[in-house]
Amino acid sequence: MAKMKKQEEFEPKIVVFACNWCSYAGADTAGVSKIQYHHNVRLIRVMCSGRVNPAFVIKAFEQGADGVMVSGCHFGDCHYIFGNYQAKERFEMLKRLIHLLGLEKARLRLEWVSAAEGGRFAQVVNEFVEDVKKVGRSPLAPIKT
Amino acid sequence: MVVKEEVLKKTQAYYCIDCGKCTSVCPISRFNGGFSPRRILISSLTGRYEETLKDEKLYACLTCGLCGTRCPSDVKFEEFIKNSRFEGQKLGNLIPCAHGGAIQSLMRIMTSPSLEQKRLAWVPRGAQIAEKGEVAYFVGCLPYFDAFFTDLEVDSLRIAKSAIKILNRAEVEPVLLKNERCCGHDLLWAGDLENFKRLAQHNIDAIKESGAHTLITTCAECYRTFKIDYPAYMGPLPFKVLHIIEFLIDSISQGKLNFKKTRKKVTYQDPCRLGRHLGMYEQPRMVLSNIPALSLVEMERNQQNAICCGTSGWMNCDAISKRIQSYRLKSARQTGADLLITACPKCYIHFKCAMKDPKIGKELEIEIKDLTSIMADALGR
Amino acid sequence: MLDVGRHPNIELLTLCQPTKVEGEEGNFRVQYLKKARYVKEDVCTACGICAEKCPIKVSDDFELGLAKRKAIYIYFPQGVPPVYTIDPEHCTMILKGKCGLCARVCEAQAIDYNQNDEERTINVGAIVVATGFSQLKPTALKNYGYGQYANVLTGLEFERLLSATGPTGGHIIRPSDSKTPRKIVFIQCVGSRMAKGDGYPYCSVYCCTNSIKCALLAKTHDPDIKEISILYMDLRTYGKGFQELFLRAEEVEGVKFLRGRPARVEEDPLTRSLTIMVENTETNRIEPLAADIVVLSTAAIPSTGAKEVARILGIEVDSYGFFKERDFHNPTEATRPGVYIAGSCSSPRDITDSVAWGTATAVKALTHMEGARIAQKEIEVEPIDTSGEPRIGVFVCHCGINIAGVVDVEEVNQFAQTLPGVVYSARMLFACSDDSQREIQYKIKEYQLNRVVVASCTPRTHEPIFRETCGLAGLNPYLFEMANIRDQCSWVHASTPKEATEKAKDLVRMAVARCHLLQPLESRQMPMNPDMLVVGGGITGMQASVDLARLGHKVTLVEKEERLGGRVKELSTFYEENYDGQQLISEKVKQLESAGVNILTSTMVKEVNGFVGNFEVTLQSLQHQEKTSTLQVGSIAVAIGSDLFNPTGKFGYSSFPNVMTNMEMERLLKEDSPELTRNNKESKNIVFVQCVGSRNKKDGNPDCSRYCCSVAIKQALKLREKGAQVVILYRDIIAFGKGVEELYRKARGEGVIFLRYDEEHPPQVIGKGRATSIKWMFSPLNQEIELPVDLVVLSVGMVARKVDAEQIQEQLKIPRSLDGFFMERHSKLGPVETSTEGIYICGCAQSPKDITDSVAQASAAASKMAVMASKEFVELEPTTCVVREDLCRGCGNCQEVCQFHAPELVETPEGNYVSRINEALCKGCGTCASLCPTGAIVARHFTDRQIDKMVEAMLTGSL
Ligand code: SF4
Ligand code: SF4
Ligand code: FES
Repeated sequence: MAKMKKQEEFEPKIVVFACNWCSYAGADTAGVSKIQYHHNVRLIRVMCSGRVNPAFVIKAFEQGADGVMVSGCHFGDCHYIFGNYQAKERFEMLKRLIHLLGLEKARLRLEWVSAAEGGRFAQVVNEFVEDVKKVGRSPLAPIKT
Repeated sequence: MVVKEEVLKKTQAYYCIDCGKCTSVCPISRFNGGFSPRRILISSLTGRYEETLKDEKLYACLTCGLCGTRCPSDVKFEEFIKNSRFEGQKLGNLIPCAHGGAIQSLMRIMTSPSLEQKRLAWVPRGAQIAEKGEVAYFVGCLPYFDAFFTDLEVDSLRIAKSAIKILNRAEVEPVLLKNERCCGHDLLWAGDLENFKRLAQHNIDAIKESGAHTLITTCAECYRTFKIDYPAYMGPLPFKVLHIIEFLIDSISQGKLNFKKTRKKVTYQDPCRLGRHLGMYEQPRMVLSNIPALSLVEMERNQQNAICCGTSGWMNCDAISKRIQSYRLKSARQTGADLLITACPKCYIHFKCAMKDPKIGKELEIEIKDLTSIMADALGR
Repeated sequence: MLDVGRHPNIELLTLCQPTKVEGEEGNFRVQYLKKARYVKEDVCTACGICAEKCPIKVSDDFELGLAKRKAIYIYFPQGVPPVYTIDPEHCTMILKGKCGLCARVCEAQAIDYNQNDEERTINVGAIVVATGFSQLKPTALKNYGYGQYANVLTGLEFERLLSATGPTGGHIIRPSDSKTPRKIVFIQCVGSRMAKGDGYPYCSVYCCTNSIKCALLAKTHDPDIKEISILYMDLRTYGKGFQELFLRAEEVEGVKFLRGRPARVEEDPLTRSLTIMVENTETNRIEPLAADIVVLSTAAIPSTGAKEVARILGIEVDSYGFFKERDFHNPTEATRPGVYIAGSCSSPRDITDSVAWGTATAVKALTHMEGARIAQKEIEVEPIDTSGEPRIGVFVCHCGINIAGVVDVEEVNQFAQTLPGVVYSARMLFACSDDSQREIQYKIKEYQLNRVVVASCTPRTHEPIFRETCGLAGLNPYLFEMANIRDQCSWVHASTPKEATEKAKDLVRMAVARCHLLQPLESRQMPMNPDMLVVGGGITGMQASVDLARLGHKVTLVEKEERLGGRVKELSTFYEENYDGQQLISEKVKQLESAGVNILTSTMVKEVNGFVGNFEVTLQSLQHQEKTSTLQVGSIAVAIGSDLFNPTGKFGYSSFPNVMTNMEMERLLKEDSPELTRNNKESKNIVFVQCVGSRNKKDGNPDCSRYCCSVAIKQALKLREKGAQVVILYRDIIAFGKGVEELYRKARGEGVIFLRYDEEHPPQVIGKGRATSIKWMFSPLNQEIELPVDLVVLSVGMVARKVDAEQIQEQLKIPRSLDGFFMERHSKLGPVETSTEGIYICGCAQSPKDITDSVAQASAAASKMAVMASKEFVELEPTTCVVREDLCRGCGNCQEVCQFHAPELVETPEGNYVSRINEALCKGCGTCASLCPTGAIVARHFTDRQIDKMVEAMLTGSL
């Protein structure tokens, strides 16, 4: 019985691209403040959210990610001035592609989190994980390349 | 080494007489001294096939087929490349893809059976389309291109809209497949045979299910893939495949379509897949000649001798491809034409991209339109 | 903060208090008391286990008592140094010798209950005081009910509620019942602008904008908050971009701005909701306002203990208790030579100005040091060969029980050993401890490890440490990678140890995957030219030049005009001083000359090439067009100032001779023109119109010009002395900062009449040939008023210079904001830096300012340049982007997107264009790489392949 339940419980795999200066730091702040959040996310550190090539995100989905989040500094705070504006533009493109593929929009997320916003980081992650759980496993999950 | 022999034999590479005619016509070689089809063949023949497989140059070839028109020994060089890439894929080669490989990734994603795409939102209101019927129109990756290349403002879906307009005018209500996949051309030519087959199977099944016995495409690459590669790798198809050019010719001859005056001087880019791969040189020109007042001027190199648009399968996009594109666009301008006509959405996108250049863009600019679009625009009452 | 904590030249003495200062500038002997921390600073790893276990709960000062902390604590999460402190007033071990729990749980054995306060001394050349300000406790202002009604908060308390890291995690709640408030009312000027009673007469400067910001945050945070009102007297949105913030609050977010100062706040004892009685002075109605929360914007007051600090340091305080500046154009100097004051300890200031002030003191302090250099370490070791197959070493850290308490470290260690390329893997108790560092070095050599992964805490703090360790063992530091299994794993998944262990394994696998693809990188050095160029010879440029030349630098100052001094040289006597603008300028010129600044007047910058440390500047003489010269400098300050708004066609300017600008009035005052004095018995009627070309959406400057209110007040006072009748028509009197509000009050006292107008109904100047009257809709009386005039003075705003600014923008490739002023790197933290390293902006070129603020910013820019010049080399980070030219199509995407102008399209011999990235300019953000269609741009250390591999390793488990 217990075993069955475990199988049913779907634990999504979520990739988070986080910029070094704000969002990755915000995740660290959540840690320092011991704010708990879902374990399903793995962060990949990039220097700026502008570094996130849309291909990274598409490939993550291809390889079965149930959700992908791109996270950077709030507007005006990007360490490199406008990197996050680029991220936003790329994100809009990704949204269109994800939509065409028929993937739920809940699987893709863009969030601005500052270095101080540990609580917000945790909250955003929790919301995201819950949202992804609601839409279920990605239809691409079993694909192998 | 059985593989090697098989590939060399099948593609007639053994016949290579080391003459170098191929290199002398190859557009890549022309702009980059380092590339030589002959050398690739010779070194493969002399026991260094493994190296060929691992060499980045394996992916530089445009498979445009120009060398094949000159080869006195009838070596099928593009076939050699394709088959060798299958082997390269097995070795886990890293394929140099433009745009970080995003487009190929999208294509691989489309192999997933449980995908429920939302790819038909663009269909204009009032267009007559069906879910089942005799004729299906294969849209291809156009919706994805439009979503991806926003900064180029490609509007490649205009081709699809034009196709529907033409079909409707000819009293055909085409089936549009809700869950159509990429035809697989690009994965095939990148060497990913396995995923190509998956895509092909999805498409064949979907077309069968729609009840269509004719499939119409507006893309030179889709056309070649359905026409040659599907039968070759998947067996005979239970439906007929037409390029919209062929459909136009039929409908015009049956008097179903007429065109209004369009006072324009145009030139035409032969897509490799339509031209050299399938010998369709006359038909597009014939179709164009049905537009009254339209005059066609040829670029210096046309038909068999036409130069490729510089990039194939979203691989080999680099400094050389840009130079090929620049060269081609300049040739187009030299004809004095005010419009360049393409018959493959990828040529169209690649040229658009080349023209967007802060330094030499002005020297390359020319209005550009797909053949399907110009035909639809010129439709009479 | 992290920077301060890590800087090799900064020794942090926290928990210390100076007790005695002897000696003089250049040679002070400071005695101080080092208070006992009861925790060994060099041993504590800030794991926090002690605080978790400590049984004593104390009200948390940082959260203003809104939350609790323990008796062993860290003041706030990002505090530096990151070490815990025992609060001896509450720790029962220290008070009564009972407990000792923390010493038992501390794995690092950092607790020492026997520490004592110690007297120490230190010798220094200069002293900078930055003790900040305190906030008025509004308890004394009984009518607002603070301390009596639960739902009346101070602005700072409200900030804590808004803060995501605050006691409520960013949820705004009513303290009385923890419900989300629907209506919030801000009351401004609580304890500020009060000439009598328990407040202070000055304006506290930051509160208007701060309340607007808080209101905006609250609005966007929580849609349930329906109504926010701000009750103000004058909206003092004086800074760059503040006006826009206000407009957004009012027009977009619907924050209500009501002009009126309430007399009291009442509470409904049942619901604990509040009612505020206020007269809306714009509609002339008394409006009782209901509120769930009332926020009091309380006055900034001298910090507690400021007087004591002043006594110890031997510096003077003003009548309020703020530290006294030497004079208005030496605002960062205290009254004792060698002691400098920064930030709000001398007058209330916002963050931007505080940062500028703080930076400015650095250059002053430097005058007392000789040959200051940034400390550098040099080492020689046998390098590890990195060419072969990866030989990866993995070190998995317990971090005491911080990681090991949740993650099964041994399982992770075992797992690491199974990964391809890993030849050594081990656990460590504290990977960052000295012995572990030595162990890592040893293992690198023993196993010839050519890649290292440490699975522990965050690379943001610890990567530099481990990189150094690798370097010491001869391994290229860029062949190192971290897996963050503490901050982003064990600490945040404490209740799911199994999943946390799985995650830790994933993170290690991802790190190892990336490690396979890491490439050794070498940082490069470029020589640093210590010479400098200052562009613009107004008061700002002169100040920056003097500051720098006094440090012994070779400084060139170029000025377009024939004479130095800009606008200041035309000013009449400064109010309450007995000298004028020309005298101030002459004094500065003397300083320039004695400091040996190379002054080039009638000269312009023609062309600038190069990058930080290595600029080549071409100068052109304006007198001899063909004469150009070149100059090599390491850094450049732009101090080209601003223009004044040209009011031609407005308010009768240029049609009536008796309508003039404030600058023209300044000249009349300087000449003591007879036009200004009373003729016969009739006094002159002089009317000022404020905000001409300021705070104006249509023309001029969208923001406040900062100087014009106080100038109008001063001119009005002088004119009163001459017997004129003076009326000032204003929108808001923006008399911010210490002393200005007082002057405003004085002007009222002297009979200057201040009357409001609103932006929609500007005054009309009426006359024939000459202006004879001025007429406008006066809203407080709701009627049109017409006043006779002899003179109309237009207080014109400052606008960005047009041609000059455009040229400089072109030449130096530094961006300008929409308003045309140069854009600072960061509105708060980088007010004098630009997006281009080595190029600084100061004074009115950045945004309008008065003399005091301009010279402070000039010194700030000088500080930054001095720091630059103190380095022998410009160290170039190797983690930049490079272009593979064979792949580049010359599309220019990279050139277009890069804010640092690093990529440039250059022509190849074949006549193509390819992009080249100037590594000295590239900051390594990698944005261009993600926009490059062909993959020609390689973002070193963050390559596409490295990132793809991590994703793959995570999702497919492949390596
Ligand atoms: S990485 Fe960033 S800073 Fe460097 S060239 Fe690219 S966009 Fe400019
Ligand atoms: S974005 Fe890439 S292809 Fe375009 S110019 Fe820059 S490096 Fe070349
Ligand atoms: S640095 Fe965080 S988004 Fe650019």
